[in-house]
Amino acid sequence: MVRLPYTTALTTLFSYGLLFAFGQLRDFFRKFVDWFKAKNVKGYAPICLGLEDFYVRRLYLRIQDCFGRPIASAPDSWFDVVERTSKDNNKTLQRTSNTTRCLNLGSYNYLGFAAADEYCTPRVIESLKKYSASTCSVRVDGGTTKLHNELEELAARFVGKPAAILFGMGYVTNSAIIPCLIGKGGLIISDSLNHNSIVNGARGSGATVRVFQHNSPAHLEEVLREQIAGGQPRTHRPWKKIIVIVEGIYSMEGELCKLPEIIAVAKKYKAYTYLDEAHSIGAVGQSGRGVCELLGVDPADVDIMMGTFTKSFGSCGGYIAASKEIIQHLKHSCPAHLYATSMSPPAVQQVISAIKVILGEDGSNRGAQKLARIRENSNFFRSELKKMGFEVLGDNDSPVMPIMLYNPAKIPAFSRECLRQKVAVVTVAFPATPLLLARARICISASHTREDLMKALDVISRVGDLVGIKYFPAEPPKIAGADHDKLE
Amino acid sequence: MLAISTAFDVVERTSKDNNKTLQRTSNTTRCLNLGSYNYLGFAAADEYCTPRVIESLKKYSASTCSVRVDGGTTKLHNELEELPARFVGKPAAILFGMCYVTNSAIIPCLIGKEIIQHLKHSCPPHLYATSMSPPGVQHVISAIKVILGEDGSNRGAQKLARIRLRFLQVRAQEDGF
Repeated sequence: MVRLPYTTALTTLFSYGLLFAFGQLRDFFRKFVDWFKAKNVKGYAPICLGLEDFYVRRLYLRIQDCFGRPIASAPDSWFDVVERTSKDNNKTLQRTSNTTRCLNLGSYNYLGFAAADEYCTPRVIESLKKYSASTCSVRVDGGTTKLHNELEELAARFVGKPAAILFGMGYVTNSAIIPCLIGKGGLIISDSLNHNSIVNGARGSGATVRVFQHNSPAHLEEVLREQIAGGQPRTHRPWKKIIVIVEGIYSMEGELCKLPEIIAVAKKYKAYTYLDEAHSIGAVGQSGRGVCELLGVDPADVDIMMGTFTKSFGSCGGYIAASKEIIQHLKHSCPAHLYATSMSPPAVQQVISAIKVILGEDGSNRGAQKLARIRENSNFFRSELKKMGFEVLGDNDSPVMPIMLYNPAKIPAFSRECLRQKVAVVTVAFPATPLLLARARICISASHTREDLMKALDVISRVGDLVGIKYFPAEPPKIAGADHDKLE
Repeated sequence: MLAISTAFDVVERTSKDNNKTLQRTSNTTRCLNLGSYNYLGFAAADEYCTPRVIESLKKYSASTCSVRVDGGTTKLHNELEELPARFVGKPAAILFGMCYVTNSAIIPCLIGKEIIQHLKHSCPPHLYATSMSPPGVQHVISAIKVILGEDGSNRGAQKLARIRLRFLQVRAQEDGF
C-alpha cells in the first residue's frame, strides 16, 4: 500500500490548498461578471452547482493537455501521438497535423494484439467481408451471428465456466448486469477501490451497498459478520442474498486481488462472489486465464466472472461467465442484451482469434511466448523502477505499474517532460484517484522489446530526477550495474 | 371514409408442449397492424427517406463501430443534434444510440448525492457506447424534414392530420356511433 512521506503530504496539501484558493477567488469575481447575464430562472437551483464542476473548471483545464491525447496509429509498442496547441492557456486545445513517434507505456496492450497480427488480422478482414461492420441490431433480433455464439462458448471455456454472455460495451458489462443479479433486500459488499462501472451498477441495483477496505479479507469478514447479524435496514430481516464484488487487478493500483482468502471468507458466510477481471484476463496466469489460474483458485469457486476484451485481446466489449442458469437469466432480463447493438462481428472475430493464439490453437506457440514475455517484461521493469528509487505500487506479474507523483505540479511536469523525450505515459489524478495520491500509470506490453524498456527506464529515470519523484534511496550503482550486465 | 391501413406479415408458430416452447414455421399471415408504434408511417419504405438512407449507407457504412468521442461522430450526427433541438425548440441536444439508455444513464448524470458529480462530464453512453448507426441517423433526419415540410411537399402535414383523424374516428366508435 501507499507509504506517503510526511513532507510530501504537507507540500501536496499546500499545493491543492493554493489552487483551491485561487480558483475560489476567480469564481468570486466571475459571479460579478456573470451577474448581468444570469440564466437561471429565479428560485431554481442550478443544474450544475459551483462546487460540482469546480474541479474541471479550475484544476483540470489547467493541465488538460496531459490527458486524452489523440493518437494517429495503432497503439502498439510505438505509436504516433498527435500534437496539440492552445491559444487560451489550455482552456481549449486544437489538434495539429503533426505527430510524434513515441514509445507507448500507456495502452492496455498487454499481449500486443492492438496492432496487426499475423493470425488475427486476416481472419478479421475475412469476417468483415462476410458479416459487414455491424449487425446494427440487438442480440435478440438480427444481431446474433455464428461468431457471437462461438465466442460465448470460447469465453466460457477459456475462463473455466459452463456458459457466458457477450456485451458490446465493457463498461455496461458491469453497470447493467449488477442490477439484474441483485435488487432491494440484497447486500453488495464492494472493495473500496472498485471501478466506477461497478459502483454505478451497485447503486443502480437498489441493493444495500457496503464497502470493505481495499484487498482486506479480514475487514471483509468483519463487514459480513456485522451485516448478517444486523440484517436489512430497519426491519432487520435476513438479506435475500449477498454478493461480494472484487477485481482481479485493480487498474489504478496494479495490485492483484487476494482472491483465495476472499473466496474462503465469502464461502464461510454463504455470500456469492463476483470477480471483475477486466485487466487480468489474458494478462496474467500461465495460459492467460487470469487471477484464478495465477493464484490457484478453482473457477467453480467464483460465482460470476466478468472480463473485458478491450485490453489483452485488442478488441471491444466484455463478457460475463457463470452457470448456465445465471447466463440464461441475464439473456432474458438484461437491458444491455435486449436493447443495445450487438458487438461488431469483426470485433468478435478478433477476440476469437486472439483467444486461439493464447490457447495455442492457432498451431503455433506464439501465445505462450507472448504470455512469458509480458511476465518477464513486467517483472523486469518493476524491479528496475524500484531500484531507481521510485515508489511503485502493485504486485509482481502485474503489467500495471503506478509510479507515485503526489504533488499536483508534478503531474503535468512528468507527463510533458516524458512526452518531450518521446515516451508516452498516462498520468492519473482525482477523481480517478484520491486527491493526494496522483500517479503515473505504466502499462507493459508483450510487444515491448528489451531495448524499448531500457530506453523507457532511462527517460523515466532522468525525468524522475528532474521532477523529484524518487522518494526512496536508489540502490548502489554497482549492484544495479551488475544486474544490468547479467540481464544483457 | 376510412383510409387504407398498413398491413404486415405475421409469422406462424407452433408448439408441441402447450406453449412451453414455440417453433417458427415458414408460413405467414397477412394481417392488419394495430400493434406497432408506427404513428406517422415511417416504419416502411418512404419516397423521401428511403433513398437518402440508402445513399448514407453507401457513404458512411452500416456503423461507425466507434464511440462518439473517438471516430463515431459524422456530419450526420452533428446535423441530427441540431435538428431535434430546433424541432422541439431548445438550444442544444445530444444523441444516444439506445432509447432505453437515454433515460437510464442520463438521470444519474443529472442528480445524485455526491457534491462533486464528475459523471455529468463523463456520461457513459456518450463515452463508451457505439454511436448511432449513420443510416439510422439519416432516417431520423429525413423523417423530421418531412414533418417540418422541408422536403418540398406537404406530406408531413398530411400525415399529422391523418393520424389525428383516425384518433377521432376511434373515439367516435367507442362512443357508440
